[in-house]
Amino acid sequence: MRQAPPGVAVPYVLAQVDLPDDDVRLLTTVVGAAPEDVALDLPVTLELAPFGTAADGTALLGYRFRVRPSRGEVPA
Amino acid sequence: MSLAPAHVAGVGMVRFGKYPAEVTLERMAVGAARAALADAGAALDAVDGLYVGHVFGGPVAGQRIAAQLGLDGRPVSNHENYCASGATAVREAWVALAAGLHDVVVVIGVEKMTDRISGGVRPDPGDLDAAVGYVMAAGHAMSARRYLADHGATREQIAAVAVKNHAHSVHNPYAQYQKPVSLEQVLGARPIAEPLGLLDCSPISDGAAAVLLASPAGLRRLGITGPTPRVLGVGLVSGGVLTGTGDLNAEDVSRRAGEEAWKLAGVGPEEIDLVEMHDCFTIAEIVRMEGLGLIPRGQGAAWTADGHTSVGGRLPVNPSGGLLSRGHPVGATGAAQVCELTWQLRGTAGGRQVEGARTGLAYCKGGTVNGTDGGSVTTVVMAR
Repeated sequence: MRQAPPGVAVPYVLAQVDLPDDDVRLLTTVVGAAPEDVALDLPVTLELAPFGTAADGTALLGYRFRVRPSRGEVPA
Repeated sequence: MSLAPAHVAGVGMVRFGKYPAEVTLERMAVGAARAALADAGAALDAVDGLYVGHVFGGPVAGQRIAAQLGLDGRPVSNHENYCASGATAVREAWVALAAGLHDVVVVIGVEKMTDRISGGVRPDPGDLDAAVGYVMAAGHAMSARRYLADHGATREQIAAVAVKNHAHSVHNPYAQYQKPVSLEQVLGARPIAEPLGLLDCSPISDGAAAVLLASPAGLRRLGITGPTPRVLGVGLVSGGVLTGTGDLNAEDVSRRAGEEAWKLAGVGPEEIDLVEMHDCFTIAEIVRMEGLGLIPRGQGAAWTADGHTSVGGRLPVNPSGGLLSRGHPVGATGAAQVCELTWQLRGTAGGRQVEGARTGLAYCKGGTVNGTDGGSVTTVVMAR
């Protein structure tokens, strides 16, 4: 996404991530790749990530997916 | 189940566009309603009730409009189904006429967006997709990527939807944009969500459209004796809960909306001469036409590039210019589509006329709900 309503930082990557073992599909944010490098069928791994703050100040935890480095690449 | 058709006694629009603050929601709605009444030669005192479709107009917008229009005191209802709100108001008006509750009703679709919406529209904040940053453009960009990969289509073929609809809009005096755009302009526009760029997206717009619907008794009250286009039926379905990892472009919601339309209207898809299609994004026109079964699966992009969906082609889609060119004041769009079908079926659409148009379909899709294949979908079938 390169344009979003006010208050949302761009660019960011949204994707449908399939979990074939569970027959589940999730809409989620994806990190670890530039938007122009994101392609269909990239392998990704689940990670926990901050997901805003509750009204009482409690930090909330959510999830996102990270593009898995392709074979041979050294993870950053 | 078969309900009587509703006769379209008159239609009217305020040109869609970007208007200053003093051109209020109420003022646009009143302008469109007066135009529809004038089109029918009807007086306000002939009207039994008012049906208003809008999304961002706030509480009792319809009653505010009625007070300014001179329909104060009448039954007024407000209808919100996101981008299908105007068409949903048409459906409820059709049902009320068929039930014998009313004989003459005004339907208005209206939206004032440019002073309250920027950066794109999104689901309700309580929706899980919205919580992770979903905006409408995201879903359509993913749809386009999947379509390109699955069907061997090209980016240029998808862009051809915008080129075609803008070419049609040159002949539509109510369109926000009335200038042609080239394929190069679409491909070179600022990216919004790859592969879609700015010209693949419908604009944020202000505007209003109105339809005066009547029963046979209502036509007699209005003194109308000649032929009028008729609303044969209006299908309405909602997104179904999806499980598993199926085809992102399955468009089962469109298939079901089409089947509702054929059942309610008593006509089949082979009888449709033209379509006003909810092209909120270029790719949406393609996959929804395929979901309805009006274009074979995977061929919509090629059909567009080959001119089959242009005026003069085998199945013209969006002779009005569609949402991409006419503009998309979300609650007004469904009513504007009925205006366009009315002009087409009367044979008065000028340079964008589909020759010999006898039966038309108007499709709207409103909103998204996480975990389903859509919010609301309406399918209006009209005949001359």
